[in-house]
Amino acid sequence: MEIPVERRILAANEDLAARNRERLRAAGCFVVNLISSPGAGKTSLIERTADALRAKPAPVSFAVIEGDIATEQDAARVRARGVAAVQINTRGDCHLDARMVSGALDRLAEQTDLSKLDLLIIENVGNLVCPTEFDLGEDAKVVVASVPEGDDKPSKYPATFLRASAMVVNKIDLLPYVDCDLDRLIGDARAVNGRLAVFPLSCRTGEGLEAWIDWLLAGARRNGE
Amino acid sequence: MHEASLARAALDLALGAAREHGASRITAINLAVGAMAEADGETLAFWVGILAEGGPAAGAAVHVTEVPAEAECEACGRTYPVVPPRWSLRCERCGGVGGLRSGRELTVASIEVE
Repeated sequence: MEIPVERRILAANEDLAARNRERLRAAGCFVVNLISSPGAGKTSLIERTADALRAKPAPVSFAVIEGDIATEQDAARVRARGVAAVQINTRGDCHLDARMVSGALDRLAEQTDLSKLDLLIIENVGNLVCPTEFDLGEDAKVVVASVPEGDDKPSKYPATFLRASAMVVNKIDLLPYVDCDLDRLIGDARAVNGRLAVFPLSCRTGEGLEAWIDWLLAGARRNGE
Repeated sequence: MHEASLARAALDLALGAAREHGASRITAINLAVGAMAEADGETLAFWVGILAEGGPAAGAAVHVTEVPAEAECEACGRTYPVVPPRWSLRCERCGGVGGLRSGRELTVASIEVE
């Protein structure tokens, strides 16, 4: 006898993610899940974001959840920029999941008033594959690609680019020195995802950063209403 | 991607459904895996089999239906397959943006019980 089931295998994570989403939406917070290979520049982007937001005339309440297999280094870097941050150590899990983020939100609530948060960036474990499948409760997944990685990543990791709302291309200051056709990279990413917002920038020189900050602030304004 | 932990979750869903219907033995587990779900059907089936050993689903056949990725153009409504090497969702007829209609499934569709 056949019994229909029709249940998504990842339903347990999706249910927890929905609860995280509800909690953060109630706070009017814009939540970004930052995904990339190790070393593309996620933490540097967060540092530059923190500096840029601090320089804005209107204050923006910003916090970060860091995810790594080991060490507190990234959370320490973020806190050094004057931003509340908690670190998740997955001890081997190659991606964050909604349960981990739920616990991190409880810890963050001890450091800062979540109800006043405008922007939360969750820096995922460095991995271009698995984080895509695990909803954390974010409003937007942002892929951070970087110039030295080359221009073939969108076609090799299509699901990751498909599910993202935006792509940052970091390290554009290195374009003269490495083989990376920026037009091909952006073209292939947009072939998989026609709605992808694209931000070529350099965390090192600051070029292109303003458009990224504007996109974050637009999201924070939308969610704050 | 994590086929063993996906297999565990899939098996738990199957066992739960069998319990709900008062069935003591599962003879087949039917899964649906989309082409863009980042899971390999064969590997998934293998792990479900391993994890099922000694339990109510021991020896159950694991069938995986691979669901192809298909997009629908938001401008002209045309539907078309999304395939390697480029995995493009762009509509070739009008150049419009396509939305994925299928291909991200990762579900336990049904079970067969005695």
